[in-house]
Amino acid sequence: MTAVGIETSGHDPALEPSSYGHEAAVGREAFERIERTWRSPAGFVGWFTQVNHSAIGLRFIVTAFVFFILSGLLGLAMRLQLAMPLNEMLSPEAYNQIMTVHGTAMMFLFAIPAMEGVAIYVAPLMVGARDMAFPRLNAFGYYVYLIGGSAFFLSLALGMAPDAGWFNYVPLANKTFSEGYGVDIWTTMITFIELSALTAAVELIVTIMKLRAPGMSLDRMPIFVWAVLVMSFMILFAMPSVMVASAFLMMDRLVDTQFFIVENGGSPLLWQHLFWFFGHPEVYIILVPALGIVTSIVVTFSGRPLFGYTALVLAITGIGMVSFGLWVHHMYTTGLPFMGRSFFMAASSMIAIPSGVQVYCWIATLWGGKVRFATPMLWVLAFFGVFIAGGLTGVMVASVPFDRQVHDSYFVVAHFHYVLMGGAVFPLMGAIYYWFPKATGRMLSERLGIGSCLTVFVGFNITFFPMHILGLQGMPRRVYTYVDGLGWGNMNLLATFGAFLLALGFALTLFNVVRSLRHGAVAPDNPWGGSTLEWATASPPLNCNFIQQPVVESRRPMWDWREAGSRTVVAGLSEDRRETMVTTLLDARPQSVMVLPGPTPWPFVSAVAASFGFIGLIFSPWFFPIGFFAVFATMVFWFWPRHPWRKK
Amino acid sequence: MSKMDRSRNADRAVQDTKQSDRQLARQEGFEAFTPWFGWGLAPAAWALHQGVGYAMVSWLCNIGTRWPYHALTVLAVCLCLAGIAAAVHALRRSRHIRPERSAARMRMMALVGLMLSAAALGGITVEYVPTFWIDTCMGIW
Ligand code: HEM
Ligand SMILES: [Cu+2]
Repeated sequence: MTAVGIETSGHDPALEPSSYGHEAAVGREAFERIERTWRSPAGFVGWFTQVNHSAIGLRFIVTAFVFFILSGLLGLAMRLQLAMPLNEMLSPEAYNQIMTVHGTAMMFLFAIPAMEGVAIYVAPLMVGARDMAFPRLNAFGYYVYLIGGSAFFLSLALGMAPDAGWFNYVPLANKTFSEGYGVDIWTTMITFIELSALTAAVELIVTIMKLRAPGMSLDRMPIFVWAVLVMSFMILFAMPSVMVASAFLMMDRLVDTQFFIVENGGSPLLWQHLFWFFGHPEVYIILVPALGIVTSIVVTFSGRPLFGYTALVLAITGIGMVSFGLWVHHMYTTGLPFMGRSFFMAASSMIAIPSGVQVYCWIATLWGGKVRFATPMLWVLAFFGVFIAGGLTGVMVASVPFDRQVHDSYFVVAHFHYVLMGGAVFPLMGAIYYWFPKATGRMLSERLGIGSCLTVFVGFNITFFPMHILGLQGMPRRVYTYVDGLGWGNMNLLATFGAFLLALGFALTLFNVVRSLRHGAVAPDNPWGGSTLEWATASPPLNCNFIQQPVVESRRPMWDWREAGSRTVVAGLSEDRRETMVTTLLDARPQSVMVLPGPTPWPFVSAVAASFGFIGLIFSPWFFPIGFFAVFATMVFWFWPRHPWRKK
Repeated sequence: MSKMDRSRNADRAVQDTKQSDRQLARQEGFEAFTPWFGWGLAPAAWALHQGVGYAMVSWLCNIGTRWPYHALTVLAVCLCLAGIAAAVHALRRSRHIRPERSAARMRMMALVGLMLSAAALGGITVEYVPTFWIDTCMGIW
């Protein structure tokens, strides 16, 4: 039995803007010892051994945004090509590849990993844990993502990228019609991302369920954490479907199975079902954590407790649930029985209800508070506008007769950019402005932030609003050019102009980030006066997150402590081992202490071995056993017994 | 706080945990799970109705009757009602639960379970009613 207990720290708590005396709370000597225990090794070699969630989470975010910039540039290239009728900047082949890589990368390499990154960075802090449950698995997931994503973009540079669209429909994606390696690269990339997303989901679930600070019962969990939990379960249920689909396709192409070959009894519709049973929930996997981000920001900047906590939990869980019953709305034009389609039309319209509940809760929260319009809040307001517009066109295309008119037209392109940019990019930008001070210890410039937000908002609407009109005028999506005389030229030119404005807006934030890293004002622990636990640690967070793990007595620990003038904390965790509290699933009563592993290179080596196998599979099925045993060998070292409980 | 105090605190905290969990389990037994029924039953009912209903359409067209579909709907509705009943039951019981913290948590879980079940019921209705106007064979060639 370790000596762990709950005590009230006699120390003066965080009274913004001054900072909590993290060092004084335990004394200098203990502070340094704990920090040394949790330190991540520095240097080039050290980088490959880091396992702390804050390091891994940050890497996910940065990598995802690099892929965002790359895919955004591809978007610009497409817009340039489409600016004028019969433009010849891009060949049809190049356009198809660029379009496919843009869509695939935005969805799989940017949106999901960025959300996972924010979750991995913020959720453990928010629940008051010192790290995640499986730090090495976390690192493994990151390297798999990094290698898979880089290989995918490399394929574009080599001109052998996939070109069958982001949902890679068969029969186009069958060997007969897509001969080169493109589609194989697509399925391989999917394998990488699945693996990385599943590892993230598993450890987020376990961390949230078992490592919450004592006292954080389920009904005290911040909404963001609820959202992350729902997102993780959605990944768990959705990913296997696309995993099966891509494995079938890989086998069709590699070893001549006939899953999707009509002539031999295969079914192209099977692909669509499997893909969209994942694909529709996917957009909600992206949206749900974004809703959590928005809620966090709304609460902080309205300065008052959330209105309708239970209703929001319900709405988020409800959205997670309903999103699995909508997938057929992507298949209205494939000749399915009417009665079957009608189920999905009804369900698709229903998703508006939980979404409406949320908007209501946010408005009610803002209504009662003194709202501060700092940059994170501005991005949230932009999110409201854009996302609601996307939701409205969503209800339109959910209806079978309307969808049969606009299916595969630019109306759909407009719709999904409204929901994806609105539902993912705007909240993520808000998240950057909101948590940047926590992650880096520097404030971002408000002036640049406001400029960036306005430019992005205006640029976005100029780019994508005209696409609604183009779609209604009949312009199909996925065309590399169009002839003169159709009357589409002006709107397209306008959209291209908007795209550059949009890019300028993002560039302003990039500049802001780079500049503020060095020259930004120094951030206190809790610059925005937030109520959740990530603000309880230093900015940037201590190696151990919390020098003494907090004990929670309500939904708003930071505000409680401010009132009480003291903090309740866990005392007695070891200073020489990476220890964190394990608590019960429902009420978060202290249960035991977990010893977490320290830095190790094996997850990296393991990820390299796995990548070797996956990439090899593009060329030969033999790489399956080769990869399997290579990973097995590395895992032997990874899991070498380490006797965490033995005293050093 | 001295080392001694700390370890005494620790023992108390851990004992408290064990005691209250065991107490709750003894006090409640099977009942401890009632707040969660709605969480499981609601999605199950709705998925069952939608998934099986979707899959049986062409079969319904073949056999020329839709009573299996009505039966399926009744079954799904019953599942939702069971979820609602369990949640209501848990809400009532939560008044007798100690400590108060567990009761509050239990109430919230039961409330979400209740509303999820009600939402699933709504969803099933919304998917069920329009089918009266659609011939099962429409769109099947
Ligand atoms: C940064 C600004 C962006 C621009 C200028 C842009 C532009 C475009 C263009 C021109 C297309 C091709 C339409 C076609 O030929 O059918 C496209 C497709 C697409 N975009 Fe974007 N986009 C942007 C951001 C995003 C974001 C943030 C996401 C998702 C998170 C996204 C997801 C997609 C998807 C999934 C497709 C469909 C690809 C396909 O048809 O297979 N885009 N985008
Ligand atoms: Cu969908």
